[in-house]
Amino acid sequence: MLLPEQVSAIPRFLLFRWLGLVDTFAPLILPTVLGGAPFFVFLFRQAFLSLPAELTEAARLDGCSPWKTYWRVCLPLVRPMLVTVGVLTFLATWNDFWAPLIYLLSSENRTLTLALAGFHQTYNTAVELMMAATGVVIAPCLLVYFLAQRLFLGGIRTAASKH
Amino acid sequence: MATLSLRGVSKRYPGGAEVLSAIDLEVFAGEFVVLVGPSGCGKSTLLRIVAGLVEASAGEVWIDGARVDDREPGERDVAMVFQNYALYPHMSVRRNLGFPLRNAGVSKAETEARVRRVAESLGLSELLDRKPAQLSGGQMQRVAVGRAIVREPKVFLFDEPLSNLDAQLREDLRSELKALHRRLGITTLYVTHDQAEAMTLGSRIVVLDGGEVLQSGAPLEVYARPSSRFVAGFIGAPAMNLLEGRAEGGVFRLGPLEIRGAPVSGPVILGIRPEEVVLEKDAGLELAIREVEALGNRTLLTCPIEGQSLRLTLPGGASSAVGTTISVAFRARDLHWFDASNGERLGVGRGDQSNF
Repeated sequence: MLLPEQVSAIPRFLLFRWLGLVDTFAPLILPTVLGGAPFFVFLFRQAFLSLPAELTEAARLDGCSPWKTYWRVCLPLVRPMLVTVGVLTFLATWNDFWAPLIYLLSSENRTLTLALAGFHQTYNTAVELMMAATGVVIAPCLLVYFLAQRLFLGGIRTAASKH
Repeated sequence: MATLSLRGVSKRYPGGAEVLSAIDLEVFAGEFVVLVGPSGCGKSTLLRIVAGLVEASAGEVWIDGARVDDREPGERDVAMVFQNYALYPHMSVRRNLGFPLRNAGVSKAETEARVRRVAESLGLSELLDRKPAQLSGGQMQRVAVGRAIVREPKVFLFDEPLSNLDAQLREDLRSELKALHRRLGITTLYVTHDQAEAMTLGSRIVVLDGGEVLQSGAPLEVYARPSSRFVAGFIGAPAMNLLEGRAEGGVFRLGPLEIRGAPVSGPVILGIRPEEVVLEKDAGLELAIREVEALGNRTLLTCPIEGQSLRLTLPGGASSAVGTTISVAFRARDLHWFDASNGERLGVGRGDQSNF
């Protein structure tokens, strides 16, 4: 978290080139799926710590193994955090400009953010076309936002109950 | 029905003080034992050791003739009700009640039947599809009790289950718990710091302080013959008066107070319960009233005596005013004597018939 992403860009690029994954989607997907942002680890840690200890004790007495306690009791209770991290990850990935710019070389693989940037250079003065293109790019974000809002509020309601 | 026995159970946290020292406790089959003591006396730790949530530093825990120290909490066949209920907030009442059964591999149909039966017996049938957040405190505690009895465990553990409820509800649930125990007859260990619960619920109370068992016995027996100064002050509300004075030749003296029948000479503590101090004209001990607390059904008076204070209870309607004087007497059979140095009970506590 301390290092700007740019610092590790070159070694990371070399690694993916060595793996033969340049100009595929793998360099964009793998880091998020395997590690995610360290910040999310903190978010989850706080969410799990906020669960009352008695809940996991009750689960142990009710015959749950540690895994089952995690899966059936703890994880459902941090759902608001799951949704939050999901939304943040989606937005960060969707809006990412830097990583696609580095790893995606052929035009058929380019993501929408790269396409929008290219579009901007070509149709800079055609405001109505820029508006249309931008609208297409943000449409999924709006959709996710509205879908997640329901889950998010539902999650807060559960979490706010007196344990 | 199962017997629960603790043999020499100790708990010492690394680098910390000893929380429990060599506790021996036998809870007989079907018995209801109340562990009572001030906060930090180790009573909850002891309960958690039985449950398997805390590991004892030494000693053995036996349930129904089997040593269970190294068993997981879920394998000990005990159920526990927590102070804050510990219901699973994301599950309906039905799933909360069925959770321990499903974990134990009981079939869906059987689980449903047993959940229904327990819900009916606790008056929860209407609430089965609600989430804990939609329940009142009393209902949540009932669900927590239901989750414990649905498994038909060998031993029930209660960790101050009523202390988060308001007074009226606490009384209702107290009698419900008592009725439940009478009906099911499951061996029960109940932790509380509440006087009324300790006195009314258990067939036996065990007073803990500083990680040691101070006294164990039937509630009224402990009330009538506290084994130490601590127990005397702890059991009974308002607390017993404990007056520190000196005895010389069998006569206890504290300022104007003189009582025959002290079992030893030297510094000694005289104990008398506020409700056993009697008003008697010209009895010899005149005291000024410093404080009057009218509780409706009784009135509590506090009178200073040689830098200490004597409290006494009078019937509700008694008229007393701060600053006026009353004349009191102690009956010999109500006196308790305690050693001033170690707080141990002295002798049988019989004084003379006329004390002044």
